[in-house]
Amino acid sequence: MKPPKLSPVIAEEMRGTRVCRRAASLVLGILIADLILIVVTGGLSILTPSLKPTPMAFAAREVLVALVLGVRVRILAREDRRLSSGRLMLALAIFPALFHLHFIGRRITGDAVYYYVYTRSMIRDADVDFANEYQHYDLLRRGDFSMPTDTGHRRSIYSVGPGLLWTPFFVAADGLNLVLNGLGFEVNTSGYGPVHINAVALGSFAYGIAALFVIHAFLRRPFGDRLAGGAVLLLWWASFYEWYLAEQPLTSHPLSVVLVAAFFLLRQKEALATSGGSLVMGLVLGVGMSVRWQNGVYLLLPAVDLLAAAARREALGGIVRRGLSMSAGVFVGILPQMLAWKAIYGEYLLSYPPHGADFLRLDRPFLLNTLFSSRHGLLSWTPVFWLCVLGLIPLTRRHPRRFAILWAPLLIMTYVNACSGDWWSGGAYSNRRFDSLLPVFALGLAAFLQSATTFVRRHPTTLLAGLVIGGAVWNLSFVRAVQREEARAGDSLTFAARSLAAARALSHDIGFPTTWPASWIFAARYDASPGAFDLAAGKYLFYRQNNLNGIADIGTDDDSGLILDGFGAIRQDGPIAYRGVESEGRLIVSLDLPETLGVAFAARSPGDRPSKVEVTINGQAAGSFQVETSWGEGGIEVPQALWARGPNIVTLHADRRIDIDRVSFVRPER
Amino acid sequence: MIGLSVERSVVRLAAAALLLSIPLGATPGTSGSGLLLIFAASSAAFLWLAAGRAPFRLRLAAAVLVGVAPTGLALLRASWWTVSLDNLLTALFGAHGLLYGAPLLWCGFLGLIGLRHEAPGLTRLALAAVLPGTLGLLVSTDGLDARVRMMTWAPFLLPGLAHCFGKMRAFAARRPERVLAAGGGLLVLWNALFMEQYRRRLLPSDDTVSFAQVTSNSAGLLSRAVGTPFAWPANWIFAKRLEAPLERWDAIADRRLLDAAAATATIELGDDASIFAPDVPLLLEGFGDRRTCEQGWCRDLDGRGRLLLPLEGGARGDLTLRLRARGQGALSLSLNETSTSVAELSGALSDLSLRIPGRSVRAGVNVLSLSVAEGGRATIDRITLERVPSTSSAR
Repeated sequence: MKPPKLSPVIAEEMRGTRVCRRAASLVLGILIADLILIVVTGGLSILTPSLKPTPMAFAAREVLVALVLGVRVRILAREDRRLSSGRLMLALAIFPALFHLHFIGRRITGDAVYYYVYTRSMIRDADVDFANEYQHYDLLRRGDFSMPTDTGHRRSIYSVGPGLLWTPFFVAADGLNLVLNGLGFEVNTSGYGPVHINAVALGSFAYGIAALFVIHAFLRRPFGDRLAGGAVLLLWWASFYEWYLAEQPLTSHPLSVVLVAAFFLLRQKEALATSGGSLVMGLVLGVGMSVRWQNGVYLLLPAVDLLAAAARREALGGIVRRGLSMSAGVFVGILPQMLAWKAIYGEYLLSYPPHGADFLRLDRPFLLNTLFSSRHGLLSWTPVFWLCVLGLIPLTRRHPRRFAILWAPLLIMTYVNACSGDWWSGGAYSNRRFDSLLPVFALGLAAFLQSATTFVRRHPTTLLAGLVIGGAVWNLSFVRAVQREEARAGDSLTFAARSLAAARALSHDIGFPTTWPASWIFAARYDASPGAFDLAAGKYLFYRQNNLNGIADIGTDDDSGLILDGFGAIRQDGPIAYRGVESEGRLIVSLDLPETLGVAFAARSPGDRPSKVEVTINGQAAGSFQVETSWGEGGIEVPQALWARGPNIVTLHADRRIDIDRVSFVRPER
Repeated sequence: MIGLSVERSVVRLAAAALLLSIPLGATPGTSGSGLLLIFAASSAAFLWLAAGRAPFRLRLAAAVLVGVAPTGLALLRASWWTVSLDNLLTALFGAHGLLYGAPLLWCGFLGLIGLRHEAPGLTRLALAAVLPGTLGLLVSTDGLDARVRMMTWAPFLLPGLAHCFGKMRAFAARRPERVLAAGGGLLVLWNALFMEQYRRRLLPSDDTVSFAQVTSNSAGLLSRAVGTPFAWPANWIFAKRLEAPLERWDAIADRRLLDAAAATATIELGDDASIFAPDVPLLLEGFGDRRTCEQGWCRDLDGRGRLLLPLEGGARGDLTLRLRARGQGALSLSLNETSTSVAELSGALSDLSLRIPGRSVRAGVNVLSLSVAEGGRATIDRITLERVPSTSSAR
């Protein structure tokens, strides 16, 4: 049967619409290219070549792109090609993130240099010998880089994956530099210049954006387009993801997320059903492992899938073929990392992490600290993850066969992160090492939102209860602050000052909400205010970076977090700042491992008589010392048996008031 | 409730919101139990009037009396009084303002607008107390604290609050995803402010932090950027009028340096390094960080600068302003761009005086402009305000 003939009017309309579509696409392409050029070159624009766009001008361009995009993909697009509202939401949210990347985001800071040197070295030098790169960044004299490895290379504890995956953008920057040079612009072709670094940063950003769309894609099927869009949007902007997408893009995190997300999407599309699909899945996961090694945990999922296939009595030959394809893909994916290690260290596989044999201590997890401490605790810094974890519960209850397995990578990665030497993930925003779990968290969050939508529809009064509680907390926390003399009744305070007073009062009484329940456990265990948890948990005497160097300088505000109770306000005696202890005072200090320590107290006994001070460590008598009437040092030696791993309570019992300047913890000469 | 078609649970929550809006502990000179008593009595009055069988006009008149009486009583007891829009803005949106301390009460006001079609009688009754009570806040006196005055008619916001809550409840049932979007928005805001303070290194990059400090930093960033939300729109009006930073409103609005009780007020510059420092909110542009000078602490003024002097209405009358400062060249002082004085700075800290006639002093926020000749630098230790004794009556 012939299709009906279109009337000339409708045909003309359709041709007109097609023309409009093409025009809109062209305009959109030019505008997007302009934005990309501005970001990569640091200000050169197609539209205004002689004028560097100001933040307002850049934002105006973004608004224009957003409008044209909206018209092109929603109004002009054919119905079957229309961009869904969930995807449109994500697309529009790119613009503020791009603004962040261009005007605010950092480039070569933190770990960025150590990943970037891979890219530069591979393209410029065709090797992974970073001596020249480290020289350029003034790192060659640093202890861990100054000595060559057995192969004559320079050490790197960072993975090769990000550097490798950034190479197309580095090469594109080379191409752009050629064009700019041809147009008469001055260019830096060394590979250290802004064009190359911006191009790679933008590339990492693009991978990160792609990750969000991929996550949305696999959330759509179980949750629908809009809910999936909302969940991804919330996870993006309420977690550490935006920080590592736009503020510090030159890290492994965006790449790790896109690869794990791609793995999840392939799994949802049952890629494991064919050998080809299994190969691709393995390749994606293998490359993911070259980006962040802990992505290897996800091998568990296809392994379980194949076992389930065997349990369903599928053809064994097919299962084996798919398993081998998968393994081949994984092998190809991790090959770059193995080759990099071979070149740098002389071994394809390292027997321990390149950070050192002691970096991962599987018998010493710091679970509560990793999740709740003020030192980049995942849940305390970014409480959105609470919703993600809570959402996984109904999700696995409703669909145990499909989703119960996700608890495995969640628990394993959480445990591994908690066992890392620096469980707080170094200098980081929140706990970035949970990046590989973002796709799992996204599923949990979508499930939470789905359940919460039903709950609120059925129990809308809970919204009002929430508002009333919020209002009560705002009002009553200040009343409590006045009671605790954090503020004075009638004082007019700035919003910041009032918030500080109220939050201190709240923390003291019930702990800061994002630290629950860890702060309650801390308070119960040490008979202290839950507010003390913030500054005490994760502050070490000697362990790793930013430790106390063995000194608790309690006469200053800096170390006030080590005081549990019994110490007065700071006072001054000439150059000495001190606090008084009437009869009993307690400090909390943390050790990585128990060890014998000398404990010295810089103190004096005001008045005309010396004081005797008894010291207990974790409730056990440790010794005593005399405090003279003038400033001096007295102390004791405390054997290893009295100390505990983690927090330790040092209690002073004085027969009369003493003043304490500082407490020094000294390791015996080794 | 008569005329209100909302569920009991909604009314209970509205009543709880109202009860929790009482500014306990924030009103010096008035005990919390005193405020509770006033609130309870007023609530009883409202319920009696709402449910009463007396003629409506009589009940209406009684409600008007409830709204007007506090202002009347304040005026009767006052030794001074002023009328201005600033008084109203301060009473509602100042750091101890009704809507600043209990922003949910916005629902009480807005709800009354929506209620007028559903329960016109109840709306008129509520407005009969709320309107004159609110307008009465245009008057500032020393006769009765504004917060106490507000508590006498605040219970009349209950119908509006309950109506608004009812609408919100219905909306939540219809559009729960939007409610969740708002909640998600709060999580995003927390994260954005946390990221921003981390980026500005207001927190250590790798150490323990106090979450109370995090909260405070976030509040500071928010109020600097868009003003404290609970003080909108008063802080925007203040910032526009005085060309001052938005966040200053909270600490300035209901602060009074010199009131009828105190004849002298001293502002020490730089003595307090904490976030509670009393001098910082007063300083606008031109002033540097705190630094040592001779025996104490000071702040430098480079070229031109301004500071805010919030004064009570009863402090009007001639004032002497003494500045303890040192520097080179001449320093000119001017209050509200009227009274001006020029004095020569010396190398050591010494007092410079400005006599300000009463007609130049505004009730509320005054602006002191300082200018060092040829863009020089003055180091300022303290500013003292002193009321010049007047021979005439205080009223």
